[in-house]
Amino acid sequence: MKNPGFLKLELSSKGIRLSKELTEGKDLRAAFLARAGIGGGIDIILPDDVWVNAPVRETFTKESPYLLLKDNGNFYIEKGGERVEVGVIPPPAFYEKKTSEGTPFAQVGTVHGGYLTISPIASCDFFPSYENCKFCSANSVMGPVGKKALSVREVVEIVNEAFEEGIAEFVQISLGYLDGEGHGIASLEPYITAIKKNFDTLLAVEAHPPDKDAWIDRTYAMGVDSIAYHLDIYNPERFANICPGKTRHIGRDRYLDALQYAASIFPSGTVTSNLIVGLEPLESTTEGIDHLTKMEVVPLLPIFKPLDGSEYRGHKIPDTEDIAPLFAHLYNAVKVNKINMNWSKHVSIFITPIEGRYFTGDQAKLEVTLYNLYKSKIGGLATREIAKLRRKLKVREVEGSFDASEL
Amino acid sequence: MAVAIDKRPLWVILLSKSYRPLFFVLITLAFLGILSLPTPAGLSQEGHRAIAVFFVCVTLWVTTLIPLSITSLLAIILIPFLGIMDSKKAYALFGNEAVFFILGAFILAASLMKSGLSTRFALAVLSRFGKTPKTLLTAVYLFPAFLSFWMSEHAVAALMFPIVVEITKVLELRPLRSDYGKALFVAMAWGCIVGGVATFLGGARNPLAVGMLLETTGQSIGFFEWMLAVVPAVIIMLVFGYLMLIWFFKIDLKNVSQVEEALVHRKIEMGKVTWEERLIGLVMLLTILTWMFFGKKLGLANIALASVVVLFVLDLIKWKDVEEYVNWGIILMYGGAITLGYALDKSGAAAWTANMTIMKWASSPILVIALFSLFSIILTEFMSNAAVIAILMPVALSIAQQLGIDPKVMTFVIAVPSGLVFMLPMGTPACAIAYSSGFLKIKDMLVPGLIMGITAWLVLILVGLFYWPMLGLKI
Repeated sequence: MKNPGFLKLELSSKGIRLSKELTEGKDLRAAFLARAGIGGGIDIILPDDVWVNAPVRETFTKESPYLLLKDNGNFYIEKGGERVEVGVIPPPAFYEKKTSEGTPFAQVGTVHGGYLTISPIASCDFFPSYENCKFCSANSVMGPVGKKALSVREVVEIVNEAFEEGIAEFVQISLGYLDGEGHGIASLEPYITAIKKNFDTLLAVEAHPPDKDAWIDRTYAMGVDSIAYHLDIYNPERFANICPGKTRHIGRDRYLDALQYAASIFPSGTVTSNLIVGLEPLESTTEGIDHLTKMEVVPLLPIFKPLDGSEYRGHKIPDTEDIAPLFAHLYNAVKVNKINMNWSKHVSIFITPIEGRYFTGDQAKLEVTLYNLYKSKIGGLATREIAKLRRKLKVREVEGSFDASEL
Repeated sequence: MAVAIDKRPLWVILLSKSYRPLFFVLITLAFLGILSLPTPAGLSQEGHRAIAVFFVCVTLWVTTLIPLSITSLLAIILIPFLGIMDSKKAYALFGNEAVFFILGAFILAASLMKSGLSTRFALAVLSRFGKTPKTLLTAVYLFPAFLSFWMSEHAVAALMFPIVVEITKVLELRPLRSDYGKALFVAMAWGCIVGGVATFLGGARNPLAVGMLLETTGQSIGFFEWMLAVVPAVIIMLVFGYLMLIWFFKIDLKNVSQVEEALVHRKIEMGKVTWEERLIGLVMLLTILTWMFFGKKLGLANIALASVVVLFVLDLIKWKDVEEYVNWGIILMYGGAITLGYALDKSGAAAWTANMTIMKWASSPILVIALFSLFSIILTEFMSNAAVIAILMPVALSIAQQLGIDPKVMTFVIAVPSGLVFMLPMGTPACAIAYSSGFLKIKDMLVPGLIMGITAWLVLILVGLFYWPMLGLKI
């Protein structure tokens, strides 16, 4: 309870129960309107300004030893009689509103940490052929496959609502696997362009690797500041077994190649890939961390959750004590490979590399000072402006015409 | 539109991009520095200021930090601003006859391109003469040369390029491997380049030089007079060029019979000659004849613009086509260059510069001719030919006056070599187009281009020394 890193790890994997007052009261009511699944829990601020998105609705949370309660206007986490005072981010008020086209905002986007996550094209072509990743609950969360994509206007509206409310600072767009050239990245372009045109924000995209590197160039050029191609499982056999669609349509090697190429295009620390902890031997995850960090890719280590609606809903949650050393290894690997750890700010759904220090005993004073600088308002402004300048300097439009030779 | 990401470290990119503002600051400081210097003895205050403007314009023309045309506009602003000449006069020079001749020539060329008449000519000539590898190469070399007599060499290169590409495809020539493929593209480029210096129509630089001559000395060169002086040199260069082509690039195939079939196919695609093409051809022919025989009396620009009016009256061209084909930037650039040249001459800056530089160590007319043509042929490899003329003409005309050389000679000596770019792809669009075929490496153009450049220079000097005096041009 004293170590915010460990507490975040525990809450992420086991979730939290809510006291009767909180379950029945208005404080957290809106949280239950949001989509379930990753990021669909309640954002809690632990000591040291560590943010965690603790699942509250999934079946496995009923077994959680942690209880969130409110006492004299303050929030506490209680376990075995021991209490820690925490902050709770109220669920966004806009969850209760609708877009101009009548779609409930809560179905359009989810806020976790400082991030607003939107899935404008709520579809994944792995599902119809039963080639989806076995841990994924997207099919049940997103609704029927082939559902109409959101309009650009709706997406702009939700970003506007979230920013007006001051509840999010960054936008993340999530895309399932789509057949065809670029695997769907081209269809995100109108959304990305509209967001970048209307808001001064950093934008992250999680997608599947396109078949050609030119699409990665294009992804950066269109305004994406951070890209994630989630490998999820490092071990080749486990990867093929758990992710048949990824194996068949993209291939593990393409994930690694695309990540390596993206790391040469995007700024240090902005290319990420999930390695889900608990679905493969820990040695294999460690190997994955080493491989990715050597390519200057930041491995993110979400802890496996048996999400309702996924094929692995009954699967065992990994033991916190067993997996804790992985986060220490993550911190050290990122540090040794000199990857920028400061991009992730108020991340609540997984343990960031800088938070890995809680598992090493290293106080990391210099890193924490830098990280806090990045987190400040001035730091945020500088980060956004530098990202813009970098893109302006790096992106060149290539015209095929003779006129382009400027003769 | 595709994108590419610059993978160099950010600091390298920043450094490579920051030279531009740095350069502007340096140019401004140098400009102010020159202005703040005491005016040298023998130079008027206006002349002193004109040299400062000349320095800025030369630097900007050479570096192309801003488009050539915008540098010219800057010259027109600075000249009255610094009291070198009043605004009325500066802007009036912009309306020089040469500028309107260039405009008329551009519109006439646009009508030829738009109607497809020029392409039809090319197809007819190539299928008529391209029976063997040698005759095909000769046709690909000489036809663009001839066509460049009558329309912009850049336009000729652009229209010939797809035809030559098709020939290489039909013959299954391999890029970078086939010597014959290389020869075809180099022949096309050299043909355009050499042919482009023969008349006022091959490149707008020739009328620009004549415009500067007129504004500075009051003398002019007629269309026929130009051809009479330059065409013999062009013919000698074409002969040498052909010999060099077959010497540098082996003819490594025996049969080109497939080409005729492809060209016939293209001709069928174009259909029969339309009335529009016939009329444009007729207007063009009459225009050229009038230029040749009545050019001095009626004025070249008047004839060009009258023909343009006829094209519009007969509805043979639309304004939209003019906007598409006419290079307005070049027209602006030439107007400014003429104004600057005039300001340098009238303020005494050109004479003073000549006395302080070339006149100190080149007092013989022959040496002056050799030097200026050499400067022109070297500079044009790296910078716009119009900029070469704008830079060299004012000084050269001043030297000509002092040494008693006919200023027309200096006009030929600078204008002709300024069009002769043989070595580098960036020197002229004709070379760039040939290079873009993918058949050539830089070295394929460099060595033959260097030898061709030296040959052209020597030919020009010899023609200047032995032939031009026969035409009454004093050296």
